[in-house]
Amino acid sequence: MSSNKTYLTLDQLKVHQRCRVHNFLDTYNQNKFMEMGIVFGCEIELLRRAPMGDPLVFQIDTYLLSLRAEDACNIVVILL
Amino acid sequence: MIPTSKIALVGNPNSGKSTLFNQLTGLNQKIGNYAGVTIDKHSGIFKLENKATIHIVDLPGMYSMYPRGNDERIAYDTLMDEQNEDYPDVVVLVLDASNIKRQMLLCTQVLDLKFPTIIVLTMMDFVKQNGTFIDIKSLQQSLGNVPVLPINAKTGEGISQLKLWLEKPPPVSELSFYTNEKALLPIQEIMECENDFKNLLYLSRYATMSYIPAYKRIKMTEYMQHGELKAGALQVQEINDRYKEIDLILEKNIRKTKDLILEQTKRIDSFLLHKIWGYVLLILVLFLGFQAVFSLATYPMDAIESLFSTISLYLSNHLPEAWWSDLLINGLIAGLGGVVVFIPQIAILFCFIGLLEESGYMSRISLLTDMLLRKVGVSGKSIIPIMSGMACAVPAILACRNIENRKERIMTMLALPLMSCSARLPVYALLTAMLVPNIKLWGIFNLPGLVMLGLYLFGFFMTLAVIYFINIFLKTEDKNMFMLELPLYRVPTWKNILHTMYQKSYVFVRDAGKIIIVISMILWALTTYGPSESRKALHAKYDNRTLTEAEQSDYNKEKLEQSYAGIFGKTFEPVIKPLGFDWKIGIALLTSFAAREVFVGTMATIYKQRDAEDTSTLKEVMQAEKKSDGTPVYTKATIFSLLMFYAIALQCMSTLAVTKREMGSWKYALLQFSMITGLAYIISFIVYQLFK
Repeated sequence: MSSNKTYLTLDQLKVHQRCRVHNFLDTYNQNKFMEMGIVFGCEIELLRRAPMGDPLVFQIDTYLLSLRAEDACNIVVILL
Repeated sequence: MIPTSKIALVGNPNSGKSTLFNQLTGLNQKIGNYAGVTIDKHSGIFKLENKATIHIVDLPGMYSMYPRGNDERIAYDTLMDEQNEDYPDVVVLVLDASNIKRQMLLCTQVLDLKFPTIIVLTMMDFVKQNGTFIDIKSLQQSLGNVPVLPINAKTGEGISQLKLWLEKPPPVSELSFYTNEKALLPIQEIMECENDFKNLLYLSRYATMSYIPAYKRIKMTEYMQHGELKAGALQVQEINDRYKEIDLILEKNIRKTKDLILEQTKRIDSFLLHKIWGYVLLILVLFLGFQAVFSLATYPMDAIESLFSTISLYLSNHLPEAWWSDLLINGLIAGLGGVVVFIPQIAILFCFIGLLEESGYMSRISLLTDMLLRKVGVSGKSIIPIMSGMACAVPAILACRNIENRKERIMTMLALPLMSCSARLPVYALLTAMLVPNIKLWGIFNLPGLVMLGLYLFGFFMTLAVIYFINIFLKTEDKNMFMLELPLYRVPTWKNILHTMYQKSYVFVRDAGKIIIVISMILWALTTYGPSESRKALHAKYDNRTLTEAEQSDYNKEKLEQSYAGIFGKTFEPVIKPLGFDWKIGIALLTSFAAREVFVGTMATIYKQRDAEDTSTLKEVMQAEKKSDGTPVYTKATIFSLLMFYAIALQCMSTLAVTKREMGSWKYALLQFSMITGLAYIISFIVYQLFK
């Protein structure tokens, strides 16, 4: 693990931070994430949080996907 | 092409598949059911220029060939089982071009199944507005020379081209997007299949694919016992490899300058999802929307009711007085009226829902309300069905289809009849007027109005409480997560909305209508017939004289009291006595099953009121009613208890009929009935015992 990389889970992003997908912690839902375009190496930006703090709205490629923090925490990302 | 070609429409959910399906078939479609599951099957026929007839099935939307849930499973099985009645000769793949990358996963997977295929690109207007350029010719080559056709499903542009191309069998993709022969060799030998991707699918799902010959499945099981192939890891690798390939294909064929539409959607979102304005607008949309459903529906509903009463009146004046004319008028025609009267509410509600969905705002509603509903075990997707319950539980239950998670759908469906629907309003009005004086509080709030508001809120919180309660007991292995696409904002297509309005109404009349008519005829028989001796006495008393109005009221009252419904009320009096109800209320509880507002009419008959509309005199007569010991029947405790009973109990055959239809069995309808009515009994019991 090189020192200049920051590893986070997807729910820990701050609004407008961008990241790259590194790995998945939950193998059961991994296929589902991948089907929706969340694949190794893809870029994701946290656009906003819903007014009550959750769910989170992400931009993946050119589309918008909303996930709950409890699901997003299964995705390990590298901060860009 | 052979005259009975079968086509399957395959694509992601919301890819524009259904719009294309409607364009192709028009009204030449039918809605059936897939065997064993409660998923609507949309199929239809259309003709080509060369007179060939095409059978087309709109398969449920899927994200990939790794199905989750019953609907994706159906699409999967249709494509994998050669014996399936819908196994297609030709696949038409529908891709939303404005979101093409994610759609390409399913696209390359289906191409690898080697069907003759035509690819259709929808939402091209977005692509153009967005400043994106797709090189169709070159994309066609990258996909193995299968035809790629941009269409505009709204205007019908490209449809005739598609029909022309269907006249001869389209090509199979020349390319394979997945090969892994080395790893999958053992499967290739067992399954006697050379297609690597199919072998991967067999490896992951052979156990549940009953259409694979048994000997092959046995060999597979034997192999798996000592085999080193891990289906999960191979799948992840497969999806990942495909995305790499897809990136290359898109890089080659798509040139993007800017994402104008996406930026516009993000700007609109910063207002619509704002922490203050977002909720202000949400409440406004829901309030105005349901208010509109509520008030707009009353006009056609009144018209339908007066039409049916005109028909009844005409028939009763022109038909001889006999049991069969009574059956026809008060049983069959009244039952039919009871079915038709739901159509305005269903159609208008689905018009509203259609507008929300097509515009893209629906997902935002789910997003804004998810936090609240998550606490009771469902997601933001349940908010629209629950709120719809304020108009009527029947369309609300139909609206539960949009909740993908099966467990959440069942919980919402079972609990939402607790929302105070419009049929409860006349009952609330009568009972509230008896319970509290019509005075103003602090000069502005009118007291009965406040009580009514309280009842509506009570219904909402009871709904949430019951969902929470079911969530504790209903255990499923359904580990679905909440994934919500926020589509780009767009102008709704009226054609689609009208189609949904028609389909929902039609399916309701066809499937729930029969049940409603049968139950209403049973109810008619119960209130009309009685033991023959008491009936003879009744006839002897009133003979065939022309009755005065007062005598007619007496006759109606006695006829009802001595009917089987009356006997039911008397028999069950001991059961309902702890709630403070007498047997006359018992009759009304039974007749209310046709529709809750019938309570008022039944009370009017029992208390000999000629004009059921005039509730103020009915109220006075009911308040004056005394028990044999001289105390009033309608004490505050009894009225309060009755009010609670009506606020909770599931006295609505149409709700049960539609639950049965949506869940595919009576089991859930009976569970719903006994659970909610049991709850009503308990709460009314507590209320009466506390206040008496």
